[in-house]
Amino acid sequence: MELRQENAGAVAIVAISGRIDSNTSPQLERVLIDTIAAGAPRLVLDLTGTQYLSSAGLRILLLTAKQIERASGRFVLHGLCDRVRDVLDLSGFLSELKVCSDRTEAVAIAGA
Amino acid sequence: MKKPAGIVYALEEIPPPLVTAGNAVQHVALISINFVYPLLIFRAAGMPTGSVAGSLAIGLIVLGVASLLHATRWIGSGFLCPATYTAAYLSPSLLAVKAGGLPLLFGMTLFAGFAEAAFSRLLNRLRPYFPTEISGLVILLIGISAGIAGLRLLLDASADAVAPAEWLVSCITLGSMIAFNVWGRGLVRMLCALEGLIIGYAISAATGLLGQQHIAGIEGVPWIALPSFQHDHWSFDVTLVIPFMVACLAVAMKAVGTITVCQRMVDADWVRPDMRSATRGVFTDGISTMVAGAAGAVGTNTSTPSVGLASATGVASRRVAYAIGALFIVLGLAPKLAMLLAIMPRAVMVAALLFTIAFIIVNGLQIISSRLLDARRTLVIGFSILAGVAVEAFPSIAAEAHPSVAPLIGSSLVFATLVGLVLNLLFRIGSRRRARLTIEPDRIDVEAIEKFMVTQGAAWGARRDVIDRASFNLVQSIETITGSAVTRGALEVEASFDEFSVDVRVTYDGAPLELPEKRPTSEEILASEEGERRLAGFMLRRFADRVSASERSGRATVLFHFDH
Repeated sequence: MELRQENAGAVAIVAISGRIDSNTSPQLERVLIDTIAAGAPRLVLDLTGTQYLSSAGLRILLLTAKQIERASGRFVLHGLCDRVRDVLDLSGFLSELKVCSDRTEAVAIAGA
Repeated sequence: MKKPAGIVYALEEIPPPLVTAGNAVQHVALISINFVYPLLIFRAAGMPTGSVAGSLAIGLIVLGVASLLHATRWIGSGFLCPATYTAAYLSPSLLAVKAGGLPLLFGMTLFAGFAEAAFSRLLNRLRPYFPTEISGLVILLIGISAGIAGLRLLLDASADAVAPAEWLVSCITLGSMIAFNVWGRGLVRMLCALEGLIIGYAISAATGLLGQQHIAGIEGVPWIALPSFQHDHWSFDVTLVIPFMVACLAVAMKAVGTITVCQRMVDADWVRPDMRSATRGVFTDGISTMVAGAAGAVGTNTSTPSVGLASATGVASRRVAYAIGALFIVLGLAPKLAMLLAIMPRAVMVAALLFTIAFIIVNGLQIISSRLLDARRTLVIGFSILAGVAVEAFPSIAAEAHPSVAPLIGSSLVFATLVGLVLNLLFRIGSRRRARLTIEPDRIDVEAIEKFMVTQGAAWGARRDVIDRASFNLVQSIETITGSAVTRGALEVEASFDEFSVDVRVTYDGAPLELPEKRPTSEEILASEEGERRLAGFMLRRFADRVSASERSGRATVLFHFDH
């Protein structure tokens, strides 16, 4: 899994390429927690390059959403492929997380 | 049967009369474009315009009778699934007309209907020999051969020279159909072909392609009259058996697909195809084609676009099917309408044909690519298409062949289908329906596991989406089993396939997986590793159609079943 971080104003963007599973989720968890701890409660997760999301990855998304909610921030996902969308949908998380169809919209909502 | 959310009037419900009548008119308008097929065949037979009109009127009545039969539950599928004319019979019908005129055309059509009705009883047993990608191949080839037949009307060396007005009319007719289809909305889009046809007639009148003699033809027939049955003998030619059998197989497979879509459309609880109603539907399709052959019309099939229209309008009531049948019969008693169809200018006919053929070709390609293909299946498809194209590109192959085999290699559809069926049978040698994989918990190669599933899926010709789900479940289950350290030693995976299901079994030494029916709460998921494991188990259950976990003498098994 590869992670790329950038900023769009006050919004932190983390782009993920590769699989999010039990092997890679600890690395993702560290990066997201560090990003939130650095004072960036407005976070966009770009999943355009992600083809696989397991229960371990879902747990990380849930943890991140809870922490940002406590910090009164905004957490938005975008770039979901069909398989990842199915995983979120069937697990019941699709309606609980904010998901957008493109990066511009995601950044606008996170920064609002 | 549970009514789905998008359906306003379900199968057994009775809509108001205006809704029933309005929907019936829409369906008839949608189906009307397919009259180009019998029109093309009758003109190829050299029938005078008056006789063509008489045969088309009979054709309208045949569609009416066929639609009524399809709607009844004691003989037909019982769904709103009206009858139509089809490109599948175009190629063999043209062969029959060329070889023996109308008596041979109607005799072989009668035979094809009988063969299809007989074939309906063997559907399940013959399915392994006619996998989905072969159905898609046949549909693709029907499109290609019908498209070339249409183009020959204008471009063949033996065709009448094309007047500049004809090019103009063809382009405007085809362009109108395309424009309505691409930029139109709702009903305008759905009836794009009919709207283009009307424009084609109008431009033909304006450019003189339709003249006073054509108008006189319409004025010369009454408003209402019984059509006369113009043919009193039928003939048979054994060399045309295979071409017509290929067509009847294609329409039978298409009928199964159409009826399956009908089943899914009217029942929110639909899980898998009900072969009883599909069998009745194919049987009725065969009977309808027999009626067509006996009465002096060409082979019929179920109308797939009509099912799409019912889905779009939300009106799937059987009452509408009866109304469609009645309307077709009434229209068959209107000689002016049949004459209007009979005088369709060549330019308009070719445009209509090319427009519908484009969708048939892509439909065939979509069906082929809906399944994973390995080297065997790729070769079957590739060589079959090459065989079909070769016949069209080099007509001397058939011209120089022995008369007994000329019909087989004279038709791209027939020859390519035969090549596909023979290669498919040959390549079944050595193929297995079960595959095994051993996974060491300290050497998990996720890409290799996914490749195993995709490779097997391709070898089986399984649906891409089902293999995707099975692959996800397999990887997720292995991740959960090995991650929770409940296992000792290697995991044994067995994947198996038949046309109706994909099953994946994972066996290991250790405790069985927990597969909760209810998702753990967010707090439970975040609180401990057990919460995440229960989330994984919940996801495994949701992704599969059926799942079970058991343990016996310390050996645990989890089984995933996916409907196919």
